[in-house]
Amino acid sequence: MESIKKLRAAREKLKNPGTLAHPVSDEAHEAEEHEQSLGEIFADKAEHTRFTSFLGTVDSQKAGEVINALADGHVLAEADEKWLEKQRKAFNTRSFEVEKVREILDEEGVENLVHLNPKIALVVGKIGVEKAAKFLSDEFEELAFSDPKAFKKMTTALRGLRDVRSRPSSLALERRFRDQLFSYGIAESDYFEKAAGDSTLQTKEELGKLAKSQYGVFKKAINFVTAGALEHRAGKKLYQTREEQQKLSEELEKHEKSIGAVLAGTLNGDMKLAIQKAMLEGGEVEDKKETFTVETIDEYREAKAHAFVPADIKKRFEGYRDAELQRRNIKDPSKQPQVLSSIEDSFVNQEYAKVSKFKGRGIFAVLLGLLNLGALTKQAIKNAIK
Amino acid sequence: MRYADILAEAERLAEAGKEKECEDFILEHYTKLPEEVQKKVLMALASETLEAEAGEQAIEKVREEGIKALEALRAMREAATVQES
Repeated sequence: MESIKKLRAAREKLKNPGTLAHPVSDEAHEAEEHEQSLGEIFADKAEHTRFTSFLGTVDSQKAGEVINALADGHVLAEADEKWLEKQRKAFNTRSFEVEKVREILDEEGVENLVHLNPKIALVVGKIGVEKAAKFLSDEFEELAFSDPKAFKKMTTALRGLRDVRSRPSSLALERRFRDQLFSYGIAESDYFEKAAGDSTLQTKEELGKLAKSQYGVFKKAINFVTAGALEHRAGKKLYQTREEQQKLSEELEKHEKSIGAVLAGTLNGDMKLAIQKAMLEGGEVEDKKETFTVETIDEYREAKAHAFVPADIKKRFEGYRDAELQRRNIKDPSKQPQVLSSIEDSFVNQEYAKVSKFKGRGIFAVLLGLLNLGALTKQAIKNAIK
Repeated sequence: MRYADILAEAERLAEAGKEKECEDFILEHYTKLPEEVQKKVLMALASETLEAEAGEQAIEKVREEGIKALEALRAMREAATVQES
């Protein structure tokens, strides 16, 4: 234990002098004010649990090795020490972000959500705004340390929550936009249908492909304009020949059409959703985490099959453990507690991954919440296999 | 009504394709659910709302960006026409 103390003391000296960006407003904050050393993290039970859970989301195998080494009082290898320090900083950043999200999800934040969704209004009417704010803050915190990608997505979505009640209604915005398009001679049926061409667009996938490709061309057109193409390319030199004038004119028309196609597309409900998806994905989403979106009753049944039943988890663990011991040719595991602990950790991670991949949409998000799949923590799985 | 009964009835409604009734039923019995489950249900509603709102804002951004670009392109066309004539 002495070596761990020394290690922690040495790490306490390391401070990050930089700044942290507010997860929603991007405002800069002093990092030092939100700094926690490893010693401080490990001294607080709740922080300790959050930190180990966070390490598991980064690299479950490495996290298991490092935590076991620390628990056994081993000095960490230099590479592991660097990794742990890097994660400590990332953990402090995430804790800071959670703190700021909690500030946004105050009573006013909940009132804004109520304004947006009558179903939330119904819940808040039953439990009160203060309790609702606490529930949501707790859930955001849970998400921050168990599913960083989803947390990031949700914090981005919080950006517009503050001014939601002062914004013009979506109906007024839609009307204004239609008028603007009309003034450019663009109608919903024009570019969108032409762009769709012969494609039947019967599946979401086809629609998604079209939106992705249109959005890509749209971005190129925007870049063409914002790069100051006219100043750069359409100076006196360009107008010296008729051929060049013709070329410029054709290029401008091409860009107008591609912008018009996407703008007209935003007036079509399905296309609008496909464009949103293309925008958010940006065409280059790297999602290493396997997710399964539950949208139908059959998919819900599949999710339910993975529901948290302690007796089933224990049975699955015993099968996994016995197979692992046999594979490693270990006759008496009680003589090798570290190996047993490592088998337990890998099983817990595998089991958690199976359940956490289910994300619901619409009513199925609510049903999954009811089924409590999301509440299945690694600690709960650990308890079930003891 | 016990939690297990609420879950069973909600699933029965979902199975019957009565999604709206299912949701209404869950919300009607919200306070009878365990607190951890209440949190999950509220978070599901909030996530859905925030995602929809973020989507709307993203579309609004595309529209603003697009209209500005159309204005600029129109100005370019006019400039090109003046040069040509």
